[in-house]
Amino acid sequence: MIDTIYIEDGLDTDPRAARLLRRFPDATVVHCAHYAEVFNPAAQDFRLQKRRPALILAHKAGRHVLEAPAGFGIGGERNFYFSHMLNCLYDCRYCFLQGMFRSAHYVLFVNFEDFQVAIDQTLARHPGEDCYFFSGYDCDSLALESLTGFAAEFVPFFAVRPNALLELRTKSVAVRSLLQQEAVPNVVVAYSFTPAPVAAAVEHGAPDVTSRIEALSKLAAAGWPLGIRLDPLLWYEGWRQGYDLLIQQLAAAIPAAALHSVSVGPLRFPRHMFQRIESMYPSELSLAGPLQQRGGVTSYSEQREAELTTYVSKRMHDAFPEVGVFSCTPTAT
Amino acid sequence: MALRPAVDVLPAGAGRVHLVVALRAEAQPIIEHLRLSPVDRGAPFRVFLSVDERVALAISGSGRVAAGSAVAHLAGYGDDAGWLNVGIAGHGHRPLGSVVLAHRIRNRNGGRTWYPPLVFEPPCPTATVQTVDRACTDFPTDDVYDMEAAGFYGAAARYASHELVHCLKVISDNRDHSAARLTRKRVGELVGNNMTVIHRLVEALAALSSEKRCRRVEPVGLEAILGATHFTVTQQRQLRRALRRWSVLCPGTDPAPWTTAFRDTNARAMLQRIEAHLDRQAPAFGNPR
Repeated sequence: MIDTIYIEDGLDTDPRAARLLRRFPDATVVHCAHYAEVFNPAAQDFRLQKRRPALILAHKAGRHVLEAPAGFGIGGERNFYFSHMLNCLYDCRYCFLQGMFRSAHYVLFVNFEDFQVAIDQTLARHPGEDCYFFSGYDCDSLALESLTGFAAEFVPFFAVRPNALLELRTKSVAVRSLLQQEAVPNVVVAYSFTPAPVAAAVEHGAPDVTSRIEALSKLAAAGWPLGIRLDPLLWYEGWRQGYDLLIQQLAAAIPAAALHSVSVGPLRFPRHMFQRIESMYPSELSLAGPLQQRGGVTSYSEQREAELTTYVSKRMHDAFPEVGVFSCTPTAT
Repeated sequence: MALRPAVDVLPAGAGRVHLVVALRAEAQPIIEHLRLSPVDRGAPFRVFLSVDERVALAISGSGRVAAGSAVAHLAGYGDDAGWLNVGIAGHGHRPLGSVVLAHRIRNRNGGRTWYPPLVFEPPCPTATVQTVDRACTDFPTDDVYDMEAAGFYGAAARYASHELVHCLKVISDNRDHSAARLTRKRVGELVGNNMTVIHRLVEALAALSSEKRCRRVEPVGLEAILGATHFTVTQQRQLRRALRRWSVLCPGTDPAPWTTAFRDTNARAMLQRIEAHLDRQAPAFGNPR
């Protein structure tokens, strides 16, 4: 799975990094002064690197917790995100990461403790307020859990901080570690979905929709608060039937009481990211639809976006009347 | 004698590889194996080309600057090529004749470091290559020492994405065997004995080059539509993008007859008509399950 590991000088003795080096004894280990030397140079080809991504073990410096972009939220007033990883195991053709990062290598920041200190500092700045922390902004929160141990470290951390909420956003069905522990009321496991035909066509490497729903169902039975993220919403032939069927399947498998929140968000990219992605995938069906330039954003027309969002939100509201349905705005990326 | 191609003569999507080799003795087994022929005799570098013009090799001479200059010369042979530097190098204790692919390249004098992404399975072990200005005899680190890799890589990465640029080094000297004792014949043998590895690398790079070039294949109908109506440069770009969408949304149909049938008198009207038509085509992902 991992053939090459880049590691920042001085991290060999870090326990988390050392564990990962032991985990891949046959991997070629290459030292670098700073992960950006490998990850950031211009003239890298994300699509080619997706064939064989390397793992980069790095130490995150600077700001560990950032304010979430306006419009990104699931009902909280204070929204933040933090990224223990950059990039994702899966290869979804609509993903903005492929336009945001030059490299497809997985960067893992091993200094989890510094993220935790920053989260506590953030909470201290907002005493008495609920703060929401999103961990799946620059990566899938759980897809590489067997490597990273991220949830194993952060779920107990959040469990004793009741005014903080952690969202684990994922498409992964590797939830055994969550099922083996007590559900934590302020940790939301949120699954992203597109209708099955779209998922099969564009979410390369991700578990299929049925498997994701099964995972949600198991987590619901174990008492975990769940999220459903219909993001991005895609306009395609038969989209109404596609979303109807998906929502029916979700409603049949998940009791409303288990749902913490639902969010919907139309397909959108910052313009320069879309141009980069389109040049990498000129024959990609999901990117060939009726997208327009609106300000600095590439998206469907306002009318089409509203049609999609309104229709799907209403269907979700009908299926789960007690659950908040939140809409992510086009400027949210 | 063939002349340097003035235009890209390869078929659309065909992969291309450019090799830069410092010495004629290093190049000879590659020239013979890949059946390359000399071209461009009056140019600053000796260049050899395969019959199908997919492989070009330049003999750069020794050193970073020469290697970088040879890259600039070869770049004129076509876009989106894979780039490979092949040459002899020294290492403290690796056996003579062993071969390594660079996973890190350090310019000892300039301070710059590169990390060629290994997006294919390497056909041989990998190592750090340090480029020095004078042949190394003491081998102070466990790195491989050469004289061209950094100059080659820094230049080639200006013409291709990093995945397509690689350096392969054959160990010719170590602490027990001085480079001073190397002969041309011996250098040729060292490289020639690794032709299987070199061949596999050339094929891997040609495949990557092909993928990059396929992304830029002109869409069906472009030439016919451009031939019928005047488009500005910006409009040509818009048309190219629209016709790429057409090939995805309306596969198997030629946009040229459809477009010209409306007898639009200018490019702007034609583009608007095509875009409006495409915006009505919903992508079809198959039936909901």
